[in-house]
Amino acid sequence: MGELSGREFVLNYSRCISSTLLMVRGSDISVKSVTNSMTEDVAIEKIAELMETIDSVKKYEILDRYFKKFTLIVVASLVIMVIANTVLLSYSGLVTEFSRTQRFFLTYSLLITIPITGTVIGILFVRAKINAIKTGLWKDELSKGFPSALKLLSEIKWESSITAGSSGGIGYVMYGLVKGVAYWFIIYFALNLLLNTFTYLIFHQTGVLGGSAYWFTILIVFVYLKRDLSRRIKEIRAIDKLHGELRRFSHELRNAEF
Amino acid sequence: MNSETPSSKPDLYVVARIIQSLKKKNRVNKTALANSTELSYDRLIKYLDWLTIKGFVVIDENGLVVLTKAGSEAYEELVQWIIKHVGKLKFPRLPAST
Repeated sequence: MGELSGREFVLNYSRCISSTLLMVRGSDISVKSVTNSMTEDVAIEKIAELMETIDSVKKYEILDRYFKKFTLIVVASLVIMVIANTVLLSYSGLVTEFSRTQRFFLTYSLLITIPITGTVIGILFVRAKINAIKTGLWKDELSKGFPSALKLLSEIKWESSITAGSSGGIGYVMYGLVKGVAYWFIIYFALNLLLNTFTYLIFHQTGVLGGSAYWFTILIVFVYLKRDLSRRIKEIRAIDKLHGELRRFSHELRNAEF
Repeated sequence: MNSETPSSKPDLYVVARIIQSLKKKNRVNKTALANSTELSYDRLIKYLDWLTIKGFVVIDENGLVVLTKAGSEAYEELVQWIIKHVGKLKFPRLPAST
């Protein structure tokens, strides 16, 4: 048996690699009876990565689109909480039979559930919208081999994909901010309840710690928002950078020829 | 890219499909090639004209389509071009947390 030259070896090796499985960020792309060369596999993998990123950018578009509805749900829950506090509990005489301490615990226990419910509903609503996005529709096409990967690239609506990522940024940051405000209310009520339960158990009194819950809440929410917003801004910057790169690539692709 | 006028600007996807099909079968008649690439016969002929002018394929004395070395290299260059240009893109991790 004669020795194979380098070129023959590469050719044979390439033919042998019937890529039956391509791992792309944990997703399986089964290549249906397609024999790709090693370089084709690399190109397909790169395009899969690009498609996954474009899929991810769609989520930001959803957050931007439904940010107003999320805000509405959260703000509505906060308004209901204020109304419940002032009208139903303070003036209706429902809790006047209870002592001041009992009234405090009853009021706070009831009130805290309203913003929690509102925030949870808002988050679940946005999550449901995000989960409804159809992603990975390109996987089947990509599994057909390199020419199909080229087809995918040529069919990408670059302008809309790019614009979606860019405009989605503002809503994404605002979403984090509204969530921070909702957390502020929840933490404030929770801390008030917790600290007063503590003082009641020890000193048999409520309201001993004054406005400590307020300052603790500001501190906690400040730390949370600092981390959350800086992470969101970092992601938006990354999308903006990608936006520029995609614009350049789409231009190069349009002008590419043999 | 107007796929109906390959002489001016061919559809890269169609060209790649034809070359890939020819890489699998060394020599193939036009009808079989049209079937394997899922192209209409007329459209295939237009592309074959363009590929012949470019020197990427030749039609032998039996009317069979044969991929040339230049055609094979052009295909490889296209793959490399995609690797180079898509590879240059930086893909951030985008969790889009809710």
